[in-house]
Order: sequence, then C-alpha cells, then structure tokens
Amino acid sequence: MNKEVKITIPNDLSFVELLITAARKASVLLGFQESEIRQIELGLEEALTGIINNAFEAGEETTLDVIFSLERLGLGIKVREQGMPFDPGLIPEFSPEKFKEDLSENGLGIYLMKQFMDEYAFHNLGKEGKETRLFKYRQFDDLESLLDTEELEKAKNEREAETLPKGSVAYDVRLLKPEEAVDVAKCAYASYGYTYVHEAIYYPDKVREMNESGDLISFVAVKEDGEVIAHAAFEREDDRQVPQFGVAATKPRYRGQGCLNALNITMMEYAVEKQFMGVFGRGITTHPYSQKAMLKHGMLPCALLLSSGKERKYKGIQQKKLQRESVVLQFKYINPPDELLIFPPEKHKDLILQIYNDLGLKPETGQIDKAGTLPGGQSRLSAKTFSNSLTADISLLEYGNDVIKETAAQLKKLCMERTETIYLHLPLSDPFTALLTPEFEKMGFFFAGLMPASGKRDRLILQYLNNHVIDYDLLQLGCPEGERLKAYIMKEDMKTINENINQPE
Amino acid sequence: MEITHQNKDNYSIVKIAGRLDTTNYQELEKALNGLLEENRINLILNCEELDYVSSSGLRVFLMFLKKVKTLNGKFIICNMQENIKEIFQISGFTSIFEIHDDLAAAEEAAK
Repeated sequence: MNKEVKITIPNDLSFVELLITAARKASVLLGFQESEIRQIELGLEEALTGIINNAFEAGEETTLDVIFSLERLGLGIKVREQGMPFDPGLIPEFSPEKFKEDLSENGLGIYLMKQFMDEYAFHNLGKEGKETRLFKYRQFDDLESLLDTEELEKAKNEREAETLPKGSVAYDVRLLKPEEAVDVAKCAYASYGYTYVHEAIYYPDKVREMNESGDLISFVAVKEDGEVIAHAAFEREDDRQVPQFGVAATKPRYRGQGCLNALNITMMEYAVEKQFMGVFGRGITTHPYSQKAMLKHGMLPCALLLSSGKERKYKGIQQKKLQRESVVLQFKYINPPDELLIFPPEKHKDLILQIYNDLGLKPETGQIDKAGTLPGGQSRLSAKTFSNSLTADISLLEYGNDVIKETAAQLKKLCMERTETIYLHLPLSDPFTALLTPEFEKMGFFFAGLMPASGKRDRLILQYLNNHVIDYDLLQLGCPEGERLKAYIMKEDMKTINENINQPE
Repeated sequence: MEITHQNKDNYSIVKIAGRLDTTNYQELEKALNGLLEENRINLILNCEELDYVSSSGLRVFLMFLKKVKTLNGKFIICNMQENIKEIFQISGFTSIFEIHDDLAAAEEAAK
C-alpha cells in the first residue's frame, strides 16, 4: 500500500527548503541514489518556486499542500493550491536550442521539472484549485545486470531456437511465484529482445513489486523442470475491477503449445473467482491474431483506437506498408451491473447501444432536460501523456462552464508538444456528454468507441489525429463487430477531414 | 555561501563557495549585477568550491548568460564538481553555457 505524507505550508519561499528536506528523507526511505535525490530536490524546488512566485495575487497570504506518495515504483509528489487560474498550454516550450537563438527563458520551469522528474502533469481541479504532479521512478536492476555472461548468451540463443512439435511439451499454468520474476524477464527477452513495449517486464524486482501491490497479476506456464516458458498478466490501473489482459510472452521454442490460450483460460477463471466487473484487452490491427485470441474468450470490440502506437514490423506477417499501430479494445463482462443509465450523444446512440448489446448489456438511455444550458462551476480535466506511444488521454472528470475552453486549451498544448493522437474520455453517465459531444467534434475529435468501467463510470471515447491520416485498408479486424466499428469510424473520420477542409480561412 | 571576485584586465573571476539555493541566490544576483554595472561584461564563474546548486541557482546562471550576451560579453563557467556537472547535463545546460574544466582554460577563453 502507498504511504502518503501531507505537509501544508504558507505560500512563502522561505518554506521551500523545509519541503526539499522532506523530499530528501522520503527519497532515502525509498532507496533512491544520491544523484536521483538531487534531481527530485531540483524538480520539487522548481515546482514550488514557480507556484509561490506566480500563482497568487501580490500580497496574498494563503497555504499550499504538498503530498508525498511513497510507492513501490517510486516517489510521487503533488502540489495543490487554490491560486489564480493557470493554463500551461499558453506557456511556450523551452529548449536549450531555442534559448541559444532567442535568449527567452519562457517555459523554463516546466522544462526543468520534466528534465529532473520522470513524469510531470498539471491538473485543473475546478473549484478545488490546481494540482501539479511529479513522479520519479526508482531504478531497478534489469535482466542484463542480473545474469552472468553464460546465462545472457543462453537467453539470446533462445530467441533463435526452433519451435518444438505441437503438443509435445507438458506444462502447468498458475500464478507467478516471487522467485520466478527473473524467469519472466528471461521469457520476455527470449520473445522480444528488448523491444517489448512493457519495459517493466525486463526488471525482475519491478515485476515482483507490481505483483505484490496488485498492479500486475502474473500467470506463468511452467514445465516440470521449473522452466517458465510463457507469461501473461492482468494489468490493473485506476479501475481495479477491470484489469487488462496483456504482457504476453512465449519463448519461441514453445510457440504452438497452446500456452497463451491455456494462460487466458486460467486468467478468466481467476477473474470470475475474484469477481472482477470485467476484463479487457488491446488487439493490434496489423494482423487479426491477437483479436481472435481474445474473441475465443468472449471479448468483443468496444472501441477502435486509431494510431495508438508506433509502427512495428511483425515477423512472419506480410505488411504492405507501415503506419502507426491502431488497436481494438475488446471487453467481456464478468459481473455486469444490474442496471446502467447512460446519456449517449444522439448521433452515436444506435451504435453505442449496439456495442453494449454485443457485450450482453442493455443500458437505459436518459432523457436530457438540460438542453441549451451549460454546466455550472469550473470543470475538472486530467491529461496524461505517453511518451512511448506519442499519445495522450484527456479525461473529463467534471463538466464546468469552461469545459470547451479548457478542453480546447489541452488539445492545443498536446498538439504543440507533437502528440500524435489524443483520446478524450467522457463520462457516459453525465447528461452533458450527450449535449456537448458535438462541441468536441467541432474541435476535430471523432468517435472511437466506449469503455465500460466499474462503479457505472463507463466512458465514451473520442479521438483526434494530429495532422496525420490513417490508411483504413491496412486495418484488419477479426470479427464482423470489429468491421462494423471500423466502417463507422472511417465515415466519422472522413466527415471530420471534410469539415476541416471546408472551414473558412 | 561565500562569493569573492577578482578583476583582471577585461574579465572578472567570480568564485562561489558553498551552497547556492533558494535562501541565498539573490546574493549571487546582486554580486553579478554589481559587476555588470561596472561594465565588467566578461565573467568567469569558478565553481571549484560550489557544492550544491538549486534550480534557483540554475536560473541565476541562465539569467546572467542572457544579460551578458545582450551586452556582447562572455559568461564562462569552470571547475564544476561532478555532481554539478551532472545537473547541467541532465538539464541540457551544457549545450547553452561555455564550460571549461579548469580556470586556466576559462581565462584563455575570456581574453
């Protein structure tokens, strides 16, 4: 469980050193090295001095909260204040190269926070103020540093090994034991070298810690002699009741033994036993095989996320040309809600209800009695960027009367940062989603699908392609429901492109 | 923190010893501003005894680099300890500043 420490200080620079000392103590507890601790101190100092100097009216005396979160993966720091409204999207980006040309230090604060910390995010909390979030990951020993030369050579050779005859290998499937974490890393290395997108899998300590915290629930296929030959896991993020199937790796020698299918069956049984609300997975669309593997277990398409990852070459798969990878979200209810009330936008209502029907649910659609009104108060949005995939998620947590302006500002900022694709997550349980989706679509967002969630927090997902187009002919969908979704999304995408072309200058 | 300076023909050497942080960065600002007011626009910062620099300190360096460049002067840093060098590397500042390993090289560059 994460441990949190909250310190409240006056908005006075003379208190910054107190918090730097606290950050140092927290970092030492987490086992950070001295140079990492220095970076944490610098990142935090930059956040605090920036906020204290700029967020308040002259002479205003108030407080701000700093929350240290000591987590298995590292140190999180949140700075919360109720100062003046701030839009980081209006701050130009600083870079050393640009400074050499124009000598402008604008954007230096955010730049330094990003350089010293692994994650930086700014959140508008509406009437609760603003929050700056920083995170520094602990360094874990990776596979190469744990294996001796002979073992590493053996792991490299596994990648080129010939596949054994089908059905010739006996194995068990069960939950991972902590001491097997290094074998999982070896399995991933044998399967993918160091190219697998889930980098954590190459760090045995991280795999172990994530399993202990429940962020990862790993399952392995193990031979009688103890060799781990395949791995798959549930990844759990914010919605703990809806984990994601993933992190699948089978040693090349043992492909064709049905390991992943056996793992998936065991994982489904586990999901039922633990009474998860549902499970989901991401099926790539360069080929349909990962989609079909999930279809076998009753997981059906609910969204098509275009351009959600870097382009990739797949061994043994003929690819006419390369483009950024698009994925299908596939979902299965394990414990569906007894009832669900949603407010889908009229334009997409039929498809949304059809998707739920495919998933086995018949939600009620609510009457919208707020036509012509805007929500009150300030909106709450959160934005998260993913540097590996060059995508971002904007989540609308609460509608306010500035929601259009705030969303547009976030979109602009993300586009300027060269994010390739931005996904907008809207609460389907809120009537304003039905009312305001057309406004988001005017910005260039278009339909992506929906994502069921526990606590009736299902989301409508819209997507925005930043200055690039998708060749839909390259997308392979593994079932008629997927094809229907692709055809609909293509039509919506084309409408958005035409509207942009026809917009007056 | 202790700041001393030595004026040479057409440049000044400013030595900073100790910690440069949020509590004292203004002292460095004042010292450097003083030199600029005396028209001493070629500055060498000798960081041999600088143990710690905070982000406020980094900002002071950047601000004075900007001021000096605007006056067509030079702002040179030398003798950085390893931990300070690392911070400059991570922040990307090594590509902005002229940095030398020792004072002799810095003085040569300042002439």
